[in-house]
Amino acid sequence: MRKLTRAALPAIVIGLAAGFLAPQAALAAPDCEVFDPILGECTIGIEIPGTPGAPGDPVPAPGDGSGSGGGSGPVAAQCVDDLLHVPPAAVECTSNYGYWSNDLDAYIQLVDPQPPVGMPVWQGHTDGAIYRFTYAPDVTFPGNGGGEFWSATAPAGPAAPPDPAVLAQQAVAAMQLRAIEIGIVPEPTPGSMGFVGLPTWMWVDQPTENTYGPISRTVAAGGVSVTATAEVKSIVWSMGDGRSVTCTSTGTPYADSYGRQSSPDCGYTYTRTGSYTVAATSSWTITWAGGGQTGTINDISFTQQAPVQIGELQVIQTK
Amino acid sequence: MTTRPARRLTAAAGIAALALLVSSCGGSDDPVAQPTPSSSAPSSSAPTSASVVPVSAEDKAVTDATAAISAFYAAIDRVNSDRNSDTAALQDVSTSDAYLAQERAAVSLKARGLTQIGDSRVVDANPFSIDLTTDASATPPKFPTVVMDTCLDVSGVNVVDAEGKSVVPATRPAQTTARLDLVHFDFGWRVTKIASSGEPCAS
Repeated sequence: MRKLTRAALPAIVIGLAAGFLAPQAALAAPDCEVFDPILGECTIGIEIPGTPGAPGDPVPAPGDGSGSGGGSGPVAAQCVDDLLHVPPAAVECTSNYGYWSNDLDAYIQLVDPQPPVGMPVWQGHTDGAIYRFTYAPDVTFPGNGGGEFWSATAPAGPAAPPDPAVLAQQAVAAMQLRAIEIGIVPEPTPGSMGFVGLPTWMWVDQPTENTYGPISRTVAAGGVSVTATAEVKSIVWSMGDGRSVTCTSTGTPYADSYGRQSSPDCGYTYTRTGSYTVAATSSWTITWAGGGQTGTINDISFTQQAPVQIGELQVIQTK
Repeated sequence: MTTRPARRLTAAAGIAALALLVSSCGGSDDPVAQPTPSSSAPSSSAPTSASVVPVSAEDKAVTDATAAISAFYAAIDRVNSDRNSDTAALQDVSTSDAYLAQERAAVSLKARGLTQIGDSRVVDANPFSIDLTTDASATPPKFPTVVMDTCLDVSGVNVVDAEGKSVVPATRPAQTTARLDLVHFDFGWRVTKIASSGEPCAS
């Protein structure tokens, strides 16, 4: 059975440097990622930063008056098509087909509306988005209409609009989310003490939109507007004795009138005396929409701590 | 995790894969080596008469992936050989990076007024790794994946310009290697990635 020659690659690299390879072996270019076997040429090369660029002279920008004094040379075009134009030619960075991607040599546009998730073009993904690519419209031939593809992020381009996911992160940053203020009885103040067997009440003290939500912020840039909405989905109260309580509400602030009642929605009862550090970790769920996309951010949480003292009540019998 | 290097097919899958290659290439003189009978055949007390050899999920995946490779290159041949063909047909056999790369190559060929004559032949396809894990909820989602090392023969392929003059460079290798990633989606096997530096196949 035929064997591949992967092991020969290092030798080829050395041979190229020495310049003594046979012509056919020299075709195996180590800096080629995708080789077109039909034409015998590399179609996608590997760019190595710092090395001289493979392209020739820079393509002048449209309308560039190169050579008209100044001596600074022509202004290189930001958007260049080196796929369909031979030699490479400058193209407009935006058109009715979207913005130009120098990597794909095509205009990129978010498909709107998006095809239903589950269609083959999604490749099983549920994140990212489907984009349409359209080749330079001035070069026409049958079948050059472009196509659609999935991408986790929008392809880069000099005139590419902001990535909605990035704008969503900016919207979240604008919310200035932070940990809750702990409300707890026994109070976390010197001289205050709870007791074994009596209920401890926990709650969010004076909840605000940026400690508990819901809160919404909108960020717009480059014609794309994204609105994110955040709210706390749960608070895990680590009671400091190795146990924890998960509450899905703000809890109920204690009042003296409640006496020895337990909290109706967020409470605990210590079984041992001691000095404990209670930690309340609030986990946020954030959804965002904009730019034809939606998303969810679930990995944001904050923790606040408070000390509590738990003592023990003893009955002293007197005659 | 079921990822493992795969260096040898069992006899059943090897023969099936070979049959697909031969049928897709349409020739009886394919230089594909005969499969070596594997020692992993069942050791049951079955009589010497013909019996059904169980085909493992991995062997079936390799067989199906091998067929998908043949379909992939056949689609490229069709797109390149017809000036009026729609490159969207490549989406039936590839996705992701592989689709974009082949789409790019096909439109470049058309833009230059070139047409392919003759078909390429897959003369070798061996599994490099197999991972049949499926987890649609993972990010990114995981689907059964087979990575295949292939050898493609283009000695029967010519590329001509509008005047019918060949533009194939004399230095073009007759046979080059490529490593293809194939993924089994709900809608079938697709080539998702191509890695090829134009390295000639070993003789």
